[in-house]
Order: sequence, then C-alpha cells, then structure tokens
Amino acid sequence: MHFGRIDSKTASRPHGGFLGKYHPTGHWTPEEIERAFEALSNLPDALMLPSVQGIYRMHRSRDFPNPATSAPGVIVLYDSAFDGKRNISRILGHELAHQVFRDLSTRDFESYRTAVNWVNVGEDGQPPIWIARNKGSFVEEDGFSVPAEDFANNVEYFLFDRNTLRRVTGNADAWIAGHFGPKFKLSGDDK
Amino acid sequence: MTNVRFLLIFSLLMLTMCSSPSPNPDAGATAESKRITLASARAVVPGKTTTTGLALLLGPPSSIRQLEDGNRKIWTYLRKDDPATRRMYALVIHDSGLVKSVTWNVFEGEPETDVEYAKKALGSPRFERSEPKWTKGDTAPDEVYFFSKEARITIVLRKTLNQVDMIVWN
Repeated sequence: MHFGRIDSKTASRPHGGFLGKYHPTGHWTPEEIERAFEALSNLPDALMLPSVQGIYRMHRSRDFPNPATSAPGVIVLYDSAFDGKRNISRILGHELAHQVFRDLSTRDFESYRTAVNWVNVGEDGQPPIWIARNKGSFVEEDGFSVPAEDFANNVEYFLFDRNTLRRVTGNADAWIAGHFGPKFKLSGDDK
Repeated sequence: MTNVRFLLIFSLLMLTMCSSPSPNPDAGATAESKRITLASARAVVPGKTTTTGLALLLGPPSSIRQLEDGNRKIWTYLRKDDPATRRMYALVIHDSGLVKSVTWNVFEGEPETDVEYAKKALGSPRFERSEPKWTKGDTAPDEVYFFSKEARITIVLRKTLNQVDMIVWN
C-alpha cells in the first residue's frame, strides 16, 4: 500500500479515471501521512488487504463533506478527512471494509446478505434491484441503498461503536464476529 | 420427432404445474430433502407460476418473509449443504399468489460462475452488458449486468472476482 496522488498511471484505470475526472487532485503533507499511518496502525490486520494498492489524496469530494471514497484497489482521502474532529482510523476502516466486501468469496458474500436480509429481485423486465430489510435496522441511513454500503457501515460500527451495532443490527454483529474472529478489534482494545 | 414429443410432454407438465395443483411424487418432500438445481428452478415462470406451483416444483420453502409494503413476500430456499446461504429465493405477490421474480445464487465451484457458461446454460438469448452508474455513495459499484430483455433474465457478475454472483429472471 502506498500514499500517492491520482496521477496518469492511476487515472488510466477505470475508477482512477473517474476519480480524476470529478475530484480535484491534492497532495499529501508529511503530517497527513503520519496521521494516516497512525490511523492504519490502530486497525485490525484483517483490513490490511494486499488488494488495496494505494491511498490517494484529493481535495474535495463530489459529495462534500464526504471524507473518503473507495474504488477497487484505491482509497481516496479528501481535505475534509483531516478536519480536526474526524477520526481517520474510522474513515479508513470504513473504506477498507469496502475492499473486504469486494474480495469476499461468493459464499461469504451471500452468507452476509442472507444474515442481514438483503434480496435482489427483478422488476418488470429490468435489471434487478436490491430490497433491504426495514429502515430501522440500519446504523446509517445510506446503508439502505446497497449491501456494500451496509457492510462497510457495519464493520465500522463493529470496531468503533459496537453497542449501537448490536442494538440496531444484531445479525450483522454476529456475522462480523464469526467471520473475522476474536482478533478483529482495534489495537489496544481489549474489550 | 423425439424432441417434439419431449417438448409436448414437457409443455403439458409445465402447464399443469403453473395453473392447477396436481398429484406430484415430490409434493411431500421438504426443501431439505429435495435437491434444487438451476434446471428445476428455471421451471418457475414469473407471472405464471403460483405459490402452489412453486411448492409443487421445489417443495416448501425454508422460510417466508413478508416485505414492508405488506403485499410482497420472499420465499427462501436455503442450501442443503450450507444453510447459512440461500440456494434461491422468489419474490411473490401476495394478492395474486403469483411469483414475480426468481433469484438463483451461484457459488464457487459451480460452472455458472463463468459468465459464458451461464449464458449457454440459460439457452443463449441475446445479452446486453451494462454497469450501474456510480451516482452516489462513497464506493464504486462492483457489478456488471448481462441483461436479456427478450428472456427477462439478468446475469449479475462481480467485477472484482470476475465471477457470476447470481442469475435473476422475472
């Protein structure tokens, strides 16, 4: 994993190109790199995936104040991620969880969807759409849109606000605990 | 001639299953005791197969879940060898009792994980490739759709793994 900026090499990839087109590029400062390293060191090893090739720096998300974006093998942090109050470990944990979801075996992919009641159904001769469980069982509203967002939110809450996850989406808490095992926690978190 | 005879017998069988219940040697089988294949699942015809026909074809479901709108239900059939996952599920309209959509999950080791194999297994209708637009959210979609308008079938491919994830028909 390296810290970079969206350059011609990255932008030649499909999603790198997308990011480069819509989000102005930025530069890492030495202090930001240090903060990002420290944030990564707090996260469990299971999130340190070889498939994430780089963490990039851009100025502003199309969905400002969104602090970060993920595409296959690529994570981007925006200026807003480094606002004083933001928890960069939490932001990176969420984005890395997106890559975990992309890398899941089809068996595990489906077992997660089964555990938390996602169904994908066809409607009137169109490509399928996702139907979620009831809205009250999501820790964040945007999780209602697609399983990928729901998964990343739930992994984030498992690490940073587990009581809420247990209360709101107990099935997701159980699935994450079973899938990742007892070592899946923040460094120094012995709870 | 043999093919014509087979098609006639098959069509009559399907007509019977889709319209009115009739004696079936597997009618008493449970989902656990009955192995569901893609071929047997494809006998479920959205808009024609009723819940009675569905139970006759595949046995009773592992579970039935009502969706929030109250008029739609999901009939789920779990995998016999791995009940943490669903072999398939069907969206059913409560008022009409008709199946509206069927979703077949594809798993590692199954030949349908290969999209070209899956297309052939589905009778090779004309498929159009498309990708959902990344319009919102903080992550790029990972799906590719191969959609046949004429056959009303969608093969969903996971781009990262280059594997078919599911086959949906409606």
